[in-house]
Amino acid sequence: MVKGCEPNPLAGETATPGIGPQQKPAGLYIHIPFCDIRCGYCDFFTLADRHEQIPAYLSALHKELDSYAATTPFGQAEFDSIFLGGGTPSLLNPHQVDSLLSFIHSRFTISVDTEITLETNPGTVDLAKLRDLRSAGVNRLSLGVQSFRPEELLFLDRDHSVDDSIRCYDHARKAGFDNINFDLISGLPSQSVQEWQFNLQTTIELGPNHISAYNLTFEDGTPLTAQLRRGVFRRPPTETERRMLLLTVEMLAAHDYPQYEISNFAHPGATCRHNEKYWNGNPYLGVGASAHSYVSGKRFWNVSNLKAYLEGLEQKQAPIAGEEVLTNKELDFERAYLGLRQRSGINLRHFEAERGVSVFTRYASTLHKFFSLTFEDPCLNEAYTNGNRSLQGKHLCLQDGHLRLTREGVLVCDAICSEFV
Amino acid sequence: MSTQHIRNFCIIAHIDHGKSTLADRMLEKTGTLSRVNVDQVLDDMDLERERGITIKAHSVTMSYKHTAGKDYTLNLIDTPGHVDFTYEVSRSLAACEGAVLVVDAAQGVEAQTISNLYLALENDLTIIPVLNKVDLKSAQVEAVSQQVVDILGIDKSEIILSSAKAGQGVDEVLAAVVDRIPPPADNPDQPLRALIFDSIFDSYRGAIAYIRVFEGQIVPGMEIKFFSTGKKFEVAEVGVLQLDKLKRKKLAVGEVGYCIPGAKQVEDTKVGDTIISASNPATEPLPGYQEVKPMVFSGLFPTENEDYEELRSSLERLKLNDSSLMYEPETSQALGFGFRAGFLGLLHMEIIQERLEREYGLDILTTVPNVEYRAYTKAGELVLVDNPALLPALGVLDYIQEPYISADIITPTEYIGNIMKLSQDRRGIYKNTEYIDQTRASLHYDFPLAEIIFDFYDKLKSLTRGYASLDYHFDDYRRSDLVKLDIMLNNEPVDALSYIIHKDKAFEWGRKICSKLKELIPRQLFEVAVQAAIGNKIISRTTVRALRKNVTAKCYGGDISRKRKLLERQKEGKKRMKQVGKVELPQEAFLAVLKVE
Ligand SMILES: Nc1nc2c(ncn2[C@@H]2O[C@H](COP(=O)(O)OP(=O)(O)O)[C@@H](O)[C@H]2O)c(=O)[nH]1
Ligand code: SF4
Repeated sequence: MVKGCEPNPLAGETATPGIGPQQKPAGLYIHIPFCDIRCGYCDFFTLADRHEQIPAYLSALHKELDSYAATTPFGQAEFDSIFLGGGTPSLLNPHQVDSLLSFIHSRFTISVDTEITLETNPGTVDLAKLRDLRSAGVNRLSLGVQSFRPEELLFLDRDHSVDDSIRCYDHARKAGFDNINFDLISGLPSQSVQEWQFNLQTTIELGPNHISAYNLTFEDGTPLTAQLRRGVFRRPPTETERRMLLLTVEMLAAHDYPQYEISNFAHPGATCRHNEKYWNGNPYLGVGASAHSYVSGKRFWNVSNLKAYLEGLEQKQAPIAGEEVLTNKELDFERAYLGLRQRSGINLRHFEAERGVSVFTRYASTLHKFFSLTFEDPCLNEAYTNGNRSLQGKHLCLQDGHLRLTREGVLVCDAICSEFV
Repeated sequence: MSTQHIRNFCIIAHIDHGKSTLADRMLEKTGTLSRVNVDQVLDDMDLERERGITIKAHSVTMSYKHTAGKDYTLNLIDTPGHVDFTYEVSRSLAACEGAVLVVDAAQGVEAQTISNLYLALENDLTIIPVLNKVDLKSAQVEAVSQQVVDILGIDKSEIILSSAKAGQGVDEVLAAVVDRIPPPADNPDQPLRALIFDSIFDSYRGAIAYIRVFEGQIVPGMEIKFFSTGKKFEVAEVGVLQLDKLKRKKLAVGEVGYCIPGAKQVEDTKVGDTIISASNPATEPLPGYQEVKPMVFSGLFPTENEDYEELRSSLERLKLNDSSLMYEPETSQALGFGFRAGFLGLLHMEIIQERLEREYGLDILTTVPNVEYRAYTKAGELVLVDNPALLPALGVLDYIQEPYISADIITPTEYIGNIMKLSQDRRGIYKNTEYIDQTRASLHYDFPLAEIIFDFYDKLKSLTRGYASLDYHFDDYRRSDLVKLDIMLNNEPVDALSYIIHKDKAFEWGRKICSKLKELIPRQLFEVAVQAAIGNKIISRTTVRALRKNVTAKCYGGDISRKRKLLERQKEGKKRMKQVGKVELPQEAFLAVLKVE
């Protein structure tokens, strides 16, 4: 369903379920594609050593934001999360962040309690800057800590030290940030389970509100993947990765960070509102090069090219690279797989209300298979209609009107989700 | 007109000895074909060309001016070159009075040289021995001539030396065809008898029979009858073949050409059958007709169940031009609806599979090929078992017979030891060895057909650095100590994986197949127990452990579509597998037996 696309795919659109005054609030993502150096594992659209382009980029961002402010549906939408991601958005100076946020407030409807996240690389900010960012309105910091072991930071090409991370966290607290996330990466080649445990332990001791723990992924086209293919190193054995994931889930849960999405853990009340929009099918507008937007079953994305992005806006053209209108089948599947990846699971009633078909009907044979039931067996139907009944399989459980992954299910999430295609 | 000016002959040779090249040169010399780029015109199917083998025999009519000044009509009848098609070869030979025997001067006499020669002698053909490739440095003209003299019992002076490639010696061969091969017997006044030595299917004209008229004549409009089926047709057209069909008013005694009877399928124009006149029928057929019997069987299943009807109609269409293909519906618990098909041999099977895939665009899954067993029950009943799943249960079964073939293996003597070891491994029964000369021997063995259909030939080649050659023909059915090896996945037998094997080999095979399956079955959400059993007895087991980790991390903004597509692809991958109970089996698993070392 992907096709190249005319400028501004939303112009003239009328029916926009899922958005509007009484609809779910939207999220705003702003991509800042600049970094000091490029990390070997990174496949984001970002550029190292082009900082001189930042002012031009910011003014292009203003133009792009402006174009959405005037049109349906985002011009009418209410936003309650803003996420500055990258790249390294903390390369912007507080003044730039301030004027960007002010501009946004002047053009869009932004709720009072909006979550405003800034991705921050330790080493790009000091206490003073953090204070200014806080005053500019940023109320959530996502720190790219990645690891507390120097050799691992080196392997990942990270441009900061362990001390930088700890100092940055300390300063952030001092600057008044009460909602902080750590990004951590596990599953590095030759990393042992104990070494990973050390990273978790250090994190727990520091006590951020939220933890994103990712398994290192080898994306096509990155230097790290090239090295892997050349045999410079190997992936850790599956068994090690499995133990790391299990350890992460258990250790963090024990310290009051329940897993609420495959790679996300948070103290109660500290989940990331912005990211939840991605997973719950809520509308989001992405501005900046390579950013993706989604509304009413349509996803569209910007060019991943700085020059094209700047020139497009210069000529008052939407810098859109493509769009995708999801079919019903795809929408069902996205609801299902994104639901399963979350602790809350698929809310059966919500699914039916939103998709017009029950999970039970839509995925009958898959569910029978997972619960090892024959079609004659009434169990599934009962558990589905009667909230008090529950069903427990090896990978899935059906309980209180939700279909969730079990602990074992989380470990093989992809294989399970693919059954819901 | 008498038959004095006609010569009907074929060229017989071991593969690659130069049959096609020599045929091309003859076509050129007689002006039937100018030296065009079309190499080796007699092989005209793509598949054949790729595989370098002739599957379908055709004929060419050439006009030849003999040095003595007289004009002759030479009919060259091509013969298939693979052991799967021995019967077709013998019918082509039966249409001739003589054969040019081509022997590669560098390679010497090989298995097919001898087997084809015997077929030719059985048909009382005059043999013209030709030593080809004498231009090669490695040609051993003396030694190979001696081999030919020894097997044929002829005078060395009768051997013609040629280099088909360079066009050398071709005139001598043509002259010898006229001088040495007798003209066809002249029986114009008897009722019609014509031999079908080949037939093909033409989508516009229906079946086309390639025939040799032995008695009487055949003309358009005449009502004919096929001896074996009794079916009658009115002849639409007859003619000769000069690369293209050339219409004629009649085909008279001794002549070779084609006949279009207006039949819709080649089933009606069976190779080896005799065409007679409906109004004045001959009472006896020409000798040698046999119903073709498939030797190798396998299940053909559509990968996607919906394609069943499509597979059926494709098989029907293939059957129109290949009467040796047999098939009937089969239902497998594991694979659903499909067909059990019978083939002349493994090559024939591969050709059919390939045509189904290439010409009809079908994705098919084939089960391990097997031979046809004869099972006798304790009640004395005979059950023909062309599908291992259908073997009577142990309690009912009395004994089993399996087809044996008798094989000639020609090899340089230094490899005799290797071959004997391989043959013993394959339950071969040694008969005797004949020495062709000091360096080459012909070993005679009987083998269970089941032991040689898979990889015997490849093994033989590799053990002898490519020097040995093999030829075989069906011998008889013999009683063997065979058992059915069942494969079970999570305690459920998978019928399509059952396999009949000799008792002494069953244990080791069970073990090897289990470990091969373990290798081939990808880890899945649930553990898979793989067991091999004979009757109720488990002889081997292994486990494919469940997936331990299969989860990718990041899933934000743009990752959502990307990840959805990845998962969709993961699902696609699963769809290409066959769901057997809870287990997803990759297609290769059904041929695991073939991959066992
Ligand atoms: N040097 C040489 N090569 C030949 C001669 N005749 C055929 N060949 C080659 O031997 C190979 C097999 O010949 P082909 O006619 O296809 O053999 P067929 O399998 O018996 O039909 C081809 O590569 C020919 O070019 C010959 O007289 N001399
Ligand atoms: S800092 Fe982040 S965005 Fe920049 S290169 Fe490294 S991983 Fe990529």
